[in-house]
Amino acid sequence: MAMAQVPPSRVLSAQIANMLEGIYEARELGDVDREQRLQDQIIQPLVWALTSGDDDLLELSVYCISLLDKAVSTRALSQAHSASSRDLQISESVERVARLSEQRPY
Amino acid sequence: MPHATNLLSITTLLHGTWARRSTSQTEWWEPQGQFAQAINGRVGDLYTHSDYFFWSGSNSDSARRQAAQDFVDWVNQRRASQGYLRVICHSHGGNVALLSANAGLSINKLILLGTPIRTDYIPRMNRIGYIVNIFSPTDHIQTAGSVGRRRGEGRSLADTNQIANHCTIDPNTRHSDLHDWSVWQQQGNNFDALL
Repeated sequence: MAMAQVPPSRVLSAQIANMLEGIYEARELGDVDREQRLQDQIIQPLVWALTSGDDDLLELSVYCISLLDKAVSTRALSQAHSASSRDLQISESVERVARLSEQRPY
Repeated sequence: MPHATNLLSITTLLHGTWARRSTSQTEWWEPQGQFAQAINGRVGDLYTHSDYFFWSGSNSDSARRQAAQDFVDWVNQRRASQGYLRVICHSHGGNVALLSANAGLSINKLILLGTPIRTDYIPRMNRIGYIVNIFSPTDHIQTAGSVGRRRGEGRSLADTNQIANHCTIDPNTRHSDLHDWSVWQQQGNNFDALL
């Protein structure tokens, strides 16, 4: 199976931001199916962002992780951690995202 | 004890959510950073002592409110009574500054860079002399920082005689480019003239 290609950072940030909006909207409207679907879909782009080493994508990841259900954010952080195990800098960034986003923003 | 007190004029930078101290490089918001040095070249009163202001950057309202109170204390320990304060803020650092004004801090000039514009962080203009609000129209990080609390489109404030909005000339300017001196000086931006 072909590996999905990581999009350019501008495209990736737009994708994640749009899905984040969709998740919040679905949650507000009580559309559980849509919310769950989007939370599943956001994991891979979020893992790419978490392992990118890009400051903007990492800040976006903080906002994203803060909003997601705990189980989903844990999956994303765990996958990112596994993917970054040989890169100390990226591994530290993933831990930092987790630390900065551990509280709900509101 | 603060390293400097009774200052007649202070310019300081307020970083946002992701900013961190690094042992391997100087960050843009630290006094020895490239952007900070460029700012100081223009204003001359950047606070450059080693006890510069830093906050946790945690993504929570409580962390921002704590940072705001800490910033009020930090300024009051260093600024002379009636002294001038200019604050240049990136991302949620801008909301820390707005909260500090709400907590009683007088800010003469406040420059916001990609600050998420939110309903829970409304500028109280009786404490702020002038706001320069700089944003990029495609800054997804800025809007992500206001999900659930967005005011308007999350980028601009109402233009008044105390508030001016400035959109970057390049619509593809990134969130972190907003504290890049070359972007500030770019033809069509000229943000350095707004200091």
